[in-house]
Amino acid sequence: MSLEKKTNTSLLSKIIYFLFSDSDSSVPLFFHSLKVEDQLFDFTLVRFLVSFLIVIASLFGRYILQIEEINCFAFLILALLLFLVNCINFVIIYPLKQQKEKVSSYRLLINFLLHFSIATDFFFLTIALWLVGGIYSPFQYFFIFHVIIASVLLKPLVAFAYTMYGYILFLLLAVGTWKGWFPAHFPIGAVPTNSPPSGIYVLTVVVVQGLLFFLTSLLVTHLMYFLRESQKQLMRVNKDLELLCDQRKGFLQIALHNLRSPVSAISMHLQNLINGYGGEINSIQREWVERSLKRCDELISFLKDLENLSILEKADLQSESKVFDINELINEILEENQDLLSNKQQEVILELSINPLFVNGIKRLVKEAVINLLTNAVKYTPESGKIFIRTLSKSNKVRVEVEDTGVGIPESEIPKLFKEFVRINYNIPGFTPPPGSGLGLFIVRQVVENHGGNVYVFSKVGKGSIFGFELPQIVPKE
Amino acid sequence: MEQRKKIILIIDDDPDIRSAIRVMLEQAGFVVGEAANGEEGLKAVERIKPDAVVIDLMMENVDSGSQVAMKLKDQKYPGAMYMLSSAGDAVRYNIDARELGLAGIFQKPVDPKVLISTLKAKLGVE
Repeated sequence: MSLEKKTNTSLLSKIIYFLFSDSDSSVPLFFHSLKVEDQLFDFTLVRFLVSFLIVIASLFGRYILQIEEINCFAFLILALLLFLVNCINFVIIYPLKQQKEKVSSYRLLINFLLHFSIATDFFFLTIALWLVGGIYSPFQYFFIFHVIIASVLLKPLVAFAYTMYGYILFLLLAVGTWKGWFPAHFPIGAVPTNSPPSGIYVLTVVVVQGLLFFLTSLLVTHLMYFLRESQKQLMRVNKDLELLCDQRKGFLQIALHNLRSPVSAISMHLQNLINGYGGEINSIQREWVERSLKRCDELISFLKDLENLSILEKADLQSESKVFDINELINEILEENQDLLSNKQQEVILELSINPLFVNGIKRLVKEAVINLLTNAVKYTPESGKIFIRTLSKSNKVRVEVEDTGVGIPESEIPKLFKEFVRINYNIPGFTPPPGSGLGLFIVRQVVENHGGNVYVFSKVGKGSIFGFELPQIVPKE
Repeated sequence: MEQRKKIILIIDDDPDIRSAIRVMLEQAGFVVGEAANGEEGLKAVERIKPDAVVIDLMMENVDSGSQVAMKLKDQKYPGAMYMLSSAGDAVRYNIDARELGLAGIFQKPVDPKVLISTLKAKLGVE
């Protein structure tokens, strides 16, 4: 975990850091927020809508509200200009947005577009304002909206520069209207009066708007600064956590390896003792050794499941997946696990589909899932019982089923299966469930669901159970 | 005429595992050889010509057991090769028994009955 250095910074250095800090707009504001290119793209779409609205609003004002001073032609020209400029933005930004690998020239272009859009927006807004009453216009508050956008998207210093630029445009409009530098447009209805503004009124509006512009910009840039700083800190912490998680996995692997070997050696020596390879042992000694062996088996089973979970965590389905025949996999499992199957003299009946059944996935993980089902069947089926291994194709899915003639599972317990660390309450007189970690079926579910499949179970107490899963079937091309 | 005793070589870096398997195999009538690493194991194969070898998957190097098996396969070793694998290792290192020419994989801890019956069946010992 990285530790933040605590230093006493002066107010001046804080201000300098705030103004020049690299809280650039490429850092997303929140984890769910859009990056600057996406924001630009969205603004481009909004601008298309605005150019359309300018036309509608001017026609509405002129012909529905009967405001004769509204110059529809000028608004049309303005909307057309906005539309054309925006078309250029769209043509550039759309293909860039689709690009997955961003090159440095791309970032430069995005920045240019960002500045170009904000600068033209302020300019078009000033023109629109001039056409609807200048400093009388209620639309002048849209300047604040643009100041907010600039403060959200840009570094504090650049945002202040744009605020200043916007304010100068507004100042020019106000003073120009007052001094009569350009013809005034005062559409009565949209503005309260058509008499030119007095110097006092112009001064009041200019001062009030100036304060509003800069206070808004200061507030928003401050807010954004703290948000970006928090975001950076969150990203740092997240990176540290990822590192810790990797270290934990590495540690777990070493711990598992160091635990498994001695436990296996203990278990094998205990088995030798029980089998009398070291000489006869009496009944009390046998009982003690059997108890020790049972606990060893529990520990080994738990370690095995933990190991499988850690393998599952690290597996990369996309790069490791291959198409394989599930029937061939079953035959491999049977060949390799003769010890498991011959343990209790159970009869294993194979009911594999005649045709090969192909699936796409990580073979070793699917193999582990089948072995887990098979191990459970062996554990819960009494000596000389039957175990069926079945594969079939149904509705474009490959099904693998392991059926046993074991004790079965009470109906009330079935929903608990396939969950982590679950032990089933059998409530069957005379039946003691074999030891287990409670992770085996959870691992099966994880493997199958990661491969886009699902698990299922049918069971009846006293009759047995069918545990199975289905995976999407792959039909090889001819 | 008495049948020649079959020789099994155990290649494992854990002396306790070797000793436990030795006990199991000797009481079943096999002659047992031991090697503590892959290199020693390959030399022992040449020297004692075992009928079967039981190789631990994880020894001095990760996955070194499969490298030993691969070398033996390349040398056209005529006996049976079995892999000893701790829980999960065969899955982690994606061991393909057929590709390595293995006769089977035993999971640690090895069940003596299974080990003996499998080897006897494979080597034709009554």
